[in-house]
Amino acid sequence: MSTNIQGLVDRVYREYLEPMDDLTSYTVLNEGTELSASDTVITFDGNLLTQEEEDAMDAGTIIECERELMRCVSLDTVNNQVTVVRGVRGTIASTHPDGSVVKISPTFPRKNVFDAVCDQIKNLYPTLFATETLEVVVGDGFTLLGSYSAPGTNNYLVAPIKSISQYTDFSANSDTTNVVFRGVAVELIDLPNPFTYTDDTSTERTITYTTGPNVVHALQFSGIAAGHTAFVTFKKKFIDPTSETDTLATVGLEDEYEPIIMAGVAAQMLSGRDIPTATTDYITDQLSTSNFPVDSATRIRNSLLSYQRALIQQARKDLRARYPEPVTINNIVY
Amino acid sequence: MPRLTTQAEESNPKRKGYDFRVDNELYRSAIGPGREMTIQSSDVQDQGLNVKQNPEDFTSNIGRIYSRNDFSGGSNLDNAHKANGNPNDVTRFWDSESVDVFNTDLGKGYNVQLLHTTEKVQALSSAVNHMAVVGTRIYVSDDETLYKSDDGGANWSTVTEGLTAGYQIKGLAAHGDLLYITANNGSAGEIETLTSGGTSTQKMSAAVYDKIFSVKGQLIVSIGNALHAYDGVTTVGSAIVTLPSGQTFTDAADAGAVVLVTATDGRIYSLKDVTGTLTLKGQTEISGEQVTCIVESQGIVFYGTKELQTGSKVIGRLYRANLTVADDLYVLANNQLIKQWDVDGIDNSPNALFTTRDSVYTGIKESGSTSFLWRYYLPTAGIARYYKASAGGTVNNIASVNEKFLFTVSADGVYKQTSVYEQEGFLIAPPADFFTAENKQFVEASIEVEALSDSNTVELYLSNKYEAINDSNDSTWDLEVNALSGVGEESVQLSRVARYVVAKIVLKSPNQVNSPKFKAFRVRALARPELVVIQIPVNISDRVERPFRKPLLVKNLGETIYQALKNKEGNAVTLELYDPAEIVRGVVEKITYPIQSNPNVGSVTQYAILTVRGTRQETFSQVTSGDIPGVKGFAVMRFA
Repeated sequence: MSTNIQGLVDRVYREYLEPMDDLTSYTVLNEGTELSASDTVITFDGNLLTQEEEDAMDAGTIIECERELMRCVSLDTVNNQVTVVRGVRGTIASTHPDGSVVKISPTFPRKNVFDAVCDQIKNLYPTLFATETLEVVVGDGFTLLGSYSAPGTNNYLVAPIKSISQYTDFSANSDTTNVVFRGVAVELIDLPNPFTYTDDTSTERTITYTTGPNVVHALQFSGIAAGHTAFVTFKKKFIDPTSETDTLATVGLEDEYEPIIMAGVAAQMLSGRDIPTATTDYITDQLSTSNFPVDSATRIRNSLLSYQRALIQQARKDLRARYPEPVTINNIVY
Repeated sequence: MPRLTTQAEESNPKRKGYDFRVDNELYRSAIGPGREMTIQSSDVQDQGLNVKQNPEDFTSNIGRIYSRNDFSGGSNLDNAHKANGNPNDVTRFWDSESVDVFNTDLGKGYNVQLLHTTEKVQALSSAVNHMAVVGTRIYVSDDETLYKSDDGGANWSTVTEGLTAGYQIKGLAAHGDLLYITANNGSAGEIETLTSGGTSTQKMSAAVYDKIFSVKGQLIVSIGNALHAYDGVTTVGSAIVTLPSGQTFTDAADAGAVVLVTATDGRIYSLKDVTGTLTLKGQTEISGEQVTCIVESQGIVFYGTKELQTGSKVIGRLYRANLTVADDLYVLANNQLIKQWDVDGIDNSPNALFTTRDSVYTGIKESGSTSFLWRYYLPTAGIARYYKASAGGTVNNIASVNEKFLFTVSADGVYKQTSVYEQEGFLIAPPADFFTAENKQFVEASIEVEALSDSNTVELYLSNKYEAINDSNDSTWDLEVNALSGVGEESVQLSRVARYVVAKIVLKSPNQVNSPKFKAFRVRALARPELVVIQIPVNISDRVERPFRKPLLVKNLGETIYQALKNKEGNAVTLELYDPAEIVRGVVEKITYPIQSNPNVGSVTQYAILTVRGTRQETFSQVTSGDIPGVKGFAVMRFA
């Protein structure tokens, strides 16, 4: 199981796109030190390449180091160096540690795979959704989620699923004897983004979200006095990953969603591709072991998507079991 | 422009997906369904030679059979198959000892059998020995002593010849019923006659008489370096020939038109009877050699020579020649060397020649303990080793009395042929290679003999070492067939791969009462299919398919490969396939025009078929100390 997006991307390569016996021709940086974002001469390890692979790095060829694509300008086979234009085709020139893998004309650039992972995560909603439970102190009127200084990711919230409170002040480590949680009627209110309000110090504040849904959220409780604490569980969209270091938990992914994402990414990457026989066979084998064999009349992509649908269906059942649809009257969740 | 990958860049090309190399350039094949690589062995061809006139029979399914059933052509053939051979070669062999190969005219079926042994019947102490046969009486001199035998050499007695005391016998000549003896002590000499009754008469004592010869009904005698006619009584004529100082006459023979006299000055002098007087009529010079003996048989003149070396070595040679006349001069023409004997530390010179109706014999010291008669067989013009004396010395006299050979071994004794057979004798056939310089698979051997008895055996030894012919005791001789009884003919399976096969036949007669009779041997070989034609579909597309890597396009790589291969057409190359491991040295016959195939949608393979014809070479699976150039490797090897 992966802990972050990087792990998920690696799994996609490992399990679908680049089986061990069908790797994209690669070498590694042999700079002796970190490659800076501005360095245009790359020294590589020639021992990992055949002469033809070296020659393939001649002018015009695209090579990849991590998520950066570079265009080769000239090749020095004596010193194992290639001069490149950094950060081409929508990628960003960045530093790379010595020893980083350099792929030659990658069939599946890592940038593409990362983007596909992001797309797949985004597309999981509304079929699947993330959940988040917030501890909210009920205000006199509506209760704003987030603050001007820490808006969080509350704009990804979609709807409350349930809300409970003890109807008393809750304090940590308090005696739980005779304390009972009861449901609270609550409504999620969409406010414009940005939203300006006056806080309890009579200071005007503005809460703004620059990424994600263009909305500011607030809660309107009913039947509970201000000052009490309520625990509200929300249906939430998945957070868009921005970096490979983003953890799955941050994004809102459960472990069981990984196969769904991977199958979707594979289908997306293979769509319309002339994929080598080796990769075809490998993916076919992978699907067979997942009890979803590719029949003769079905293209691999369709099979992958069917496989993904089956996984999603399973995940949805799990979600419904854990989070049944609440009773809603006039948008108020009871 | 893409480069061709060479061995210098890739230490383990197979791991990087290269399938073969041509010389030092590495290539990838395009082997797949419908474009397979083929390695085809070429059929063994007949080489265009009419081998069916030889005993070898050639067919494509059973290989070639190298067989011999007649050895009367004599020895000294060092290769059974050569382009400039002659029909007699099929009856010749390399060497023999103690076996008789010349018996084609005895009125019986041909075979090879053991020779009789010889025994020493009279000891001789001096190196100066002469022999003469008067009627059936045999005279042999030993320094001052004269021996005679009246029973064909079985028993000997000393003859009281009446020579002056201290005179060494220098010559014996049978002239009619008289024995003429010349003797001297270095400063004075005499000529005596000896009758069959033992009466000796001194005829001459006026000079230091040396050798005496009876030729053409006349006697000639040498005095120092001059040769004179002698009337047999009291008159020695004036010198016919006078040699340079220090030279002497060695032998004389009646060659029909003239008398031929040999001398140590390297000349053979022709003396013609001109109205009863022997007159010098030309001479033949054998430069650099001393002529030691001469005989004429069936119109052919045979003579022996020696070439002195420093030390004790003397090279001996036997020649044959024809007597021709030109401008009333009689000279020897068409001189042909029959055989040369050249053993270090040995006086190999022939010093006596003896002729019978079908053969000419000479004697050669071959080692410190063995001397042999050699027989030149006139019907086939072949020569082979004949009777053996277990003593090392020059053979100065040869005679045959009562169908038994006698010969003297200097300073050792008189040897006489016996009635028992040698215990063992061998014959080494010429190395066979079936006209090809390639290895063959020798698979079968057999011999044919006449029904064996009395524990006699015939053995066939084989060696694949060409030089084994030089030594009958070479360690590579392996016993393959051993006929102990019956008539042989049972084939023995062989497993030998080599270019040459050399056969040695050994005849053994433990009780020496009779001899095994060897008739024929045969060795069967199949040609090794070493000449191969390899056709390889070569990947000449721009697409590189390295193992464990996704295909990669290298612009113009295919064109580079194709042009490189095209430039090799007609060139001698070394082709090494990595799987299966094969090294072929040969010629690039052709590279076809590029072919495109599209077996899978979206995957185009462009290839050309490379054809190389050549011979298989040894491949190396593991590196050993022997795998270095010049030992097992030809020149280039690959450390995998």
